[in-house]
Amino acid sequence: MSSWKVLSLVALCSLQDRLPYEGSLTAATVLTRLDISCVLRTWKIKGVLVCPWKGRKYPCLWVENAYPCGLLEVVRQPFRSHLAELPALPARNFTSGHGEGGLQFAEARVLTYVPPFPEDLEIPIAAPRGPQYRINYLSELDAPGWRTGLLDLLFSSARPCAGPWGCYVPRSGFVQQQSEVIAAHLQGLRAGRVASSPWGRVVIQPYEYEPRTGHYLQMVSPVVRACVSIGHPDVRALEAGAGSRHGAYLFVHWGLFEACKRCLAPRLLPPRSP
Amino acid sequence: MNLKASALVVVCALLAEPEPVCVHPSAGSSCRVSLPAVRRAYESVQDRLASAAFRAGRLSADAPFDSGLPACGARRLRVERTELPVELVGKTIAFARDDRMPKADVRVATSCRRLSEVDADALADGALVERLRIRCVPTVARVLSEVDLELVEGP
Repeated sequence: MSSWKVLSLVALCSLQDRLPYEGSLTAATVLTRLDISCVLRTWKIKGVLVCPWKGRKYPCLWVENAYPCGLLEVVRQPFRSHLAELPALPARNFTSGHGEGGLQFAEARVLTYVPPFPEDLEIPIAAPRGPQYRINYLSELDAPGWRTGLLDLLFSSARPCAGPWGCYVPRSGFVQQQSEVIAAHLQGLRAGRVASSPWGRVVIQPYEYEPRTGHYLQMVSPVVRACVSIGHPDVRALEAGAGSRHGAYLFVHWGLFEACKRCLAPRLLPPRSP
Repeated sequence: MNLKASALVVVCALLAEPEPVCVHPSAGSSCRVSLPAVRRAYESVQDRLASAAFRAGRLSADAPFDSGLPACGARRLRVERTELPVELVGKTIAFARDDRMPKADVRVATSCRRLSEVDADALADGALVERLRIRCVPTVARVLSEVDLELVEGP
């Protein structure tokens, strides 16, 4: 066989092994898909604060707005990701990704993703500080926890929910939901909750921005959508035309923050009605 | 219109000053948008994100884990009274190093060399250690009932 044929065969095999979404996005290209209007739509002035500092008084505008703080990825093929930067992990033998009788399962990942805010902009925007990009949680490393959520029973017995999207607990990848798209939204949120409060789960680094009802989520793959309030009641609009052929979804988590320059450091706001 | 009124209109038209369409008394100074500057700022944000992502990808999953729990001195058995879920009654939960894990229903690693290679079911973070009142490593916790927890330290 000629070398050209061998190379073609190798290329064909490698292409077949690689799913279309794999490595299709980077931290930088996700930036181009962000719904910037989400900041403007949620921006509001809460008041004016005056703080003493080194013998002087500084006034500031106390504002709140949504700001991107994380990536929530939901896939049905373990160890495969939209993100080119995600390191290759040693594959283990377990199954993933199914949806039978309305019971959906998928793997999920959580990454801190805080695009740096241009400092010379004079508009006061509440943007969180801290790491810009960090891998927080890979459900593949937390296989027993993501499948059973057994040790979670030792902690809170409350059942907080994101409206019609479903409840944040049990914090596992199994979701009773007919729609794969809505299930993916909820699986992403649950993973975000696990990463922000590990309670013994295998978490690489705690995620500082717990996904909360009334904050925002934006689908960036397979289709780019505008950000929506978590728990928004119009689930039909949410799922229309957003299905993925491979069951792979990528969301940007927009937390609601408040801040007042020199007076109040940016902080995540409590949940609110969507 | 009589002559007097027409003259008045002409005088008013001559004396009137053009009024600006829009007044922003508190707008302050402004400058035109510079598209090259916007492009540069955007590229700078992209570059910073890309380098942060590159560093995170290399470091995160290879990080070690250590709960900081001390080693148990001698074998000791104690029973703690705490509220426990019925689903865990009869189950054993082992807290030990990932490479020296005893048999148990739930295996909790107190330390491991790389998070990406952890074999245990859970990690002994502060919340879990405090909840089950673990003091040292290795410890095997057996849930006797919904209120009784038996802890065997240094088994």
